[in-house]
Amino acid sequence: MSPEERDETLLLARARGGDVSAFEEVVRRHQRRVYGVALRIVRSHAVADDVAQEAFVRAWRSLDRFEVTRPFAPWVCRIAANLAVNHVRSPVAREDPLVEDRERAVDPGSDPLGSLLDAEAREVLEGALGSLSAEQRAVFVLRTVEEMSYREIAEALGVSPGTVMSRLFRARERLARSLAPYLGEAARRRSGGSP
Amino acid sequence: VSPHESERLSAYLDGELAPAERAAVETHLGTCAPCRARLAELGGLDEAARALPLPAAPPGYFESFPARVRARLEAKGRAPGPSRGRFAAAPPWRWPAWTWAVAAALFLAVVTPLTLFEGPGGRRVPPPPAPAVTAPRRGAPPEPAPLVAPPAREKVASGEPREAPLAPPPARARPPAPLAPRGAAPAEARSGEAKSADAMTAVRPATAAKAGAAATPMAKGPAAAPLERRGPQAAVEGFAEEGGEVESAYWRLAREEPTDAEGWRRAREAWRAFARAHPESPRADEARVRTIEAGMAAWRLSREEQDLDRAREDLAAYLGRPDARQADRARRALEPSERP
Repeated sequence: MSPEERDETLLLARARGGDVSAFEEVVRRHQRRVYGVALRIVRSHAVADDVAQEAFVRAWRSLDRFEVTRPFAPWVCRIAANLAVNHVRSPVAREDPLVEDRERAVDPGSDPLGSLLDAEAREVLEGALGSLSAEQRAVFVLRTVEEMSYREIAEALGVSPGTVMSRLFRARERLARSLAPYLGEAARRRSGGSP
Repeated sequence: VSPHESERLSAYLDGELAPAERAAVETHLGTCAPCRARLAELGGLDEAARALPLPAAPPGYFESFPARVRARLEAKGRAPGPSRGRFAAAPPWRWPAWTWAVAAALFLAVVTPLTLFEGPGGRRVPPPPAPAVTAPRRGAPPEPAPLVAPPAREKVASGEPREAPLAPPPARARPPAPLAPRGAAPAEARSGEAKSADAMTAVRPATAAKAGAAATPMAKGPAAAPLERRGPQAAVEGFAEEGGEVESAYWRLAREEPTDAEGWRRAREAWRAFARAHPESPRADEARVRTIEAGMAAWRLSREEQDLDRAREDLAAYLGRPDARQADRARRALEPSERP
């Protein structure tokens, strides 16, 4: 266990004893990741904010059942993913496109996508992700971004690993169809082939 | 590439196939160029999705987020309970209060005549005492809601005796300090105050000097306004009836007097969190206005455009609410930004 993990274990142990300040520090450490998971699924800052807050509140209330020596981030991300999917499935949900903050998007200059897909392809991918069902999007995000196993995703979303596998496959099929013109080029570049 | 093969490739990419199946896929890949190309495409897709930049959160969002979560935790406590707002669980079904009144009326309509019959000994049985609950006519509109204190209203409607108002705790004798940073107040007087996020919710002992200085703004505050119509004592009682954690959280926030822009930003987000966590509380309207005022206080100290933008957004959101009770006060909060 690294010093940082040990430190977090101590913070979580204190939080379990009712120390709100210790939990606040845990929140500070993981807020971006949790918010990111939520935002990728619900696609609205306001809803992602609510989801992220609620995920931490529920984690706090369930700390008694959490083994503090285990990594906290995957656990709270799973809670957030579950809340996000449930929200998107709910009748009151309204998915807002991520255009409102487009001008504030972080500079992708150093990301590896720059060498694979251009801005147009990113736009297409963004649109294709938005066209997925909440369940497909959640599975895809949890797998590709959070790198969760099928079993972890299944636990987070309350479905079977087989369902995770088929949803993930369908999500990839749909995204691949939308991005077909770009993916061929990207694959050629990845494999070092000439265009 | 068939769908079946494609699904297996998807699972192979994720390392989720059983060893035997994985070996079979690898053997197949060695001889099938289209499947190799497909696998490369799926890998590229994942990589592209991972690299897709997320829109940035609004400025200051992550700085204030932990404090907002904390405010919610402190408002709720550890005890499990229903969440508020977007994630609120559906409330358990309860019979509306008027159905009990109707039931009581029916009961009396049937039982009272029976009690008026003469008993076997020729003795007339006295009627029962007058019912405590006046039964409304069927279909009659509900009684107009009292001005404040829904919890007390519930108690009356359900026939329970109305509890005597709790005596206000000592802290309530001192209304919260005004939110705007008082430029006239000497900075050294506040120099010892904690500036950390923890200080946002710390309860500080009230001082006589502060009590005197803070009385006016709260009395003019929005939450107080409807209560004033019932007299100042009723105002105190109305809030005292609420009691509990909401009141504690409110007063903890109200006692905060940040000394810098960052402190006011935290205050702004804490008020916002309070209003979201307790949308039905009589304090919610006050909390919404204080969100705006705290934002403006941050702007006055920082002069940063993002603080002003946020305050304007908050004002617009507030004025768009059908239940906004302090529109004038909220608009006044932004007046300093309109001066040259």
